[in-house]
Amino acid sequence: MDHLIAKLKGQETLFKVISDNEIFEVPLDLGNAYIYTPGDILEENEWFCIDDFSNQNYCPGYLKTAFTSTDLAQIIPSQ
Amino acid sequence: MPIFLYRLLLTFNATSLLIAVYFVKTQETLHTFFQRFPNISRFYSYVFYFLIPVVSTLLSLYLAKFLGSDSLEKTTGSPAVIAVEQANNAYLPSYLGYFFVALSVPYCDTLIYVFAILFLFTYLSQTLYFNPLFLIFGYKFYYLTTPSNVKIFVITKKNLRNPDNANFPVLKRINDFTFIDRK
Repeated sequence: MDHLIAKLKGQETLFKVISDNEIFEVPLDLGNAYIYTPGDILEENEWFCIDDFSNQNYCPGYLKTAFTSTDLAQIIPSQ
Repeated sequence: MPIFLYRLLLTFNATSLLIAVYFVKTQETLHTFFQRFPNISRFYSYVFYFLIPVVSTLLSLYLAKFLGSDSLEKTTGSPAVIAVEQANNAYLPSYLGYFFVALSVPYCDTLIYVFAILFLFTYLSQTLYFNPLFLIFGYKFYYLTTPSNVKIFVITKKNLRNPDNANFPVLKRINDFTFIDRK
């Protein structure tokens, strides 16, 4: 199931926004992918990719563990 | 439908049996409320009183499919839940409390006052909408602990014993701690 989660400015807590709705369509063809390096410019139909993302030091902790949407509080409009 | 209306409906389902029990105690028939209604046996009136929460519970089960979705799925190397605790019997003391209140309330205005207080606190507590009528429709209550040690209350038709077998691809969120397994 697809989940959209949000983080509020100045807060560490994550909130659930919506589930079971496709927000971003994953393109069928992800060929022509190049390891991201700053300064590179892509041509048409080319992609940047990051290898081994979960082991990079900038990978957020919540992506490294099993994700459970029931753990997150539902975001409310006033937030 | 706004979620707060749905929560009001669940609160009504959980507390309305109090009124039905009171009417049985005071032996009110439908003829008392509706003069046009034939003065039939009290038994049929009582059945009608109990059918109201049953029908509204059915309605709430139907409406549950329009609630926001969530998932509690096991992944490779990680179970969906780490502990299962049955909660079917936990509601009994509070529910028996309702019945005793209904049977001991002497006047209708007292009933309205007591019902209003119970309704308000059941709505505000929000963590539990214990409604034994769910049991009639085959639903069971469980406390499940997720791998992040968050304890949630789940209403499901599944028989859960072993946490390793628990898997809920689609759950509907009633509030942040209460979910119903209804596709």
